[in-house]
Amino acid sequence: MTTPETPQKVAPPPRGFFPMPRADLLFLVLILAFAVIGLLPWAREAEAGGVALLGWMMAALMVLSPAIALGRILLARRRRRGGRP
Amino acid sequence: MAVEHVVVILYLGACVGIGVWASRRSLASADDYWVAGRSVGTWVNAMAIMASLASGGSIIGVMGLAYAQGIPATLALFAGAVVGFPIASVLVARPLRRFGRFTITDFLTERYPHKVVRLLVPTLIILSFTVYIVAQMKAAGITAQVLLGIPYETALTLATLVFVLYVSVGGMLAVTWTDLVQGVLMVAVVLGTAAALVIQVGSPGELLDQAVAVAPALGAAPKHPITTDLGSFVIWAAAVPVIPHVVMRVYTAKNPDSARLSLNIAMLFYSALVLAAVFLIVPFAKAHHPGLEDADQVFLAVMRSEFGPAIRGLAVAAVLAAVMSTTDALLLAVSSAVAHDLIGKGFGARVGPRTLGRVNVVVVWVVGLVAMFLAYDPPALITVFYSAAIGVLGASLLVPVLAGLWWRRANLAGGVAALVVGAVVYLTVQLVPGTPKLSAILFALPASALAMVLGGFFGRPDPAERLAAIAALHQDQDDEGAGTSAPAPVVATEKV
Repeated sequence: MTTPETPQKVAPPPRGFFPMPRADLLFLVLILAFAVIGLLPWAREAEAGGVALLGWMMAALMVLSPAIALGRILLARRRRRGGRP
Repeated sequence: MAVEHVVVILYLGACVGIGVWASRRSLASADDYWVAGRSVGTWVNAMAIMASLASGGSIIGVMGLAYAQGIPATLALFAGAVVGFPIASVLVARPLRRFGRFTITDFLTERYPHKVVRLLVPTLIILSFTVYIVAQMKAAGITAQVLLGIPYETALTLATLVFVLYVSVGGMLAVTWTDLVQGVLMVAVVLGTAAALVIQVGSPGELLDQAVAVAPALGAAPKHPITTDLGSFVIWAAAVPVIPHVVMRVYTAKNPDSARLSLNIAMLFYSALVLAAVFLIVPFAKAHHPGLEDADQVFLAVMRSEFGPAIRGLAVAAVLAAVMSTTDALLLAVSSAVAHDLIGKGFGARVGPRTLGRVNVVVVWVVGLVAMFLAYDPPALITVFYSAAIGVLGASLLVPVLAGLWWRRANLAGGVAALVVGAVVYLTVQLVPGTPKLSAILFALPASALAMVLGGFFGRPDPAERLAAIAALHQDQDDEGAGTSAPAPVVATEKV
């Protein structure tokens, strides 16, 4: 407790974020960037095969994001197992 | 009609049977009832997650939405849900599984120990999920009405009685195993239907070309404002990492690694389901059944015109499976919000486990029956309807959960403020006339984040031991061997 007679240093508030593996961060940034690009107005105007690019990009996102995440988890698991004696 | 009825009765009987079997094991402890003893394997959990998310909305609703508003608008909404899962697997699954409790409210009330959090989080879950359940019931009702010839109200009542029965007696174990059966049935029927239509027409490209030639609007950019697409994407991407029935699945996994794998495997199945529906079944319907009055009846129209009684029976079972697998998980989440979060935490030691068990059964019945009565007068376009309801959970819970897990400066003041501001801004904007559909989340999420930042910078820092407990959730551990039920260090609580 701080009193006028016994001044004490208050611990500085904690700063920053808990560390995240760089590959996780990169993965998140990539899928969010892909989503943002796909949702921009240009993707509504351009078309391929009679469907607006918005549709194709969202479809690609639906397949790629879980597939890449899955690949990364399996790769990390294999690396961990390989590192064991 | 006899064959269809037999198929459906067999399916419903199997669901009740699983519930009764599970009830022998699931009432032994709270761990068994709420999170199936934390012993569910990766593939079973993946299929259960897929089935929980793939609701009546994902079979009936996705096709209705694509038929009415086109493929691009539909995928903007459903891609949000899919992207939410990798986000959850990176940001939420591992630390929350290590935290090792039952519900999302458990984490929030220990991270931000305040009565507003204790009351508001379960209340939002109950309200939002009741609306979600109503939408599912409409899907069950119209399916049985169109394909079995049973009156809508009768179908609704029968379906409600079956799933309320097995959830109330079987808990998470029953929900998990019925979800597995239901997930397999859904994937088989939707992909099988899509394959049969492709064979009939020649190729997927031809199917799409025919439809776009007849109805160019199917592939065209949506006519609604861009904020609606953005909002629908963000609603689901923000809701999935915190949505209670998905978070409970994280807790059922054997270990954090299994939880992350399950989430992503589930999404591959889910994507296959949605993409087959949108790119193959809906184009066929547009070409062969133009001008349907109720867009949500697309799948049913195709089944009725193209397939025989046995397949139609399977289709009814698949839609009921989609509805029931989501609704049972929602019911369990709502009952956990009332029995475990509100009453258990609110009254603490004064309520014994046996009383809580009884409360849980009563809650499942009450919520199921209330939703059933509301569904007698169903909403139009169920996907838009329940997405709006789910949005309030993403708007209010995402920032407190993510900041609480990852931001060292997150504190009690920030957490409470982010929760309240997210919910209030979402509901307020939602009610403002003229606001583009589903766009309220675009205002609510930034407002919630701002409240968290202001609270973090100007509020009192949290006690060091609470921060240390969160730090322990991020320490490197061998996740494959991590204890299956060992809880994380208890986060210190304080009275405010």
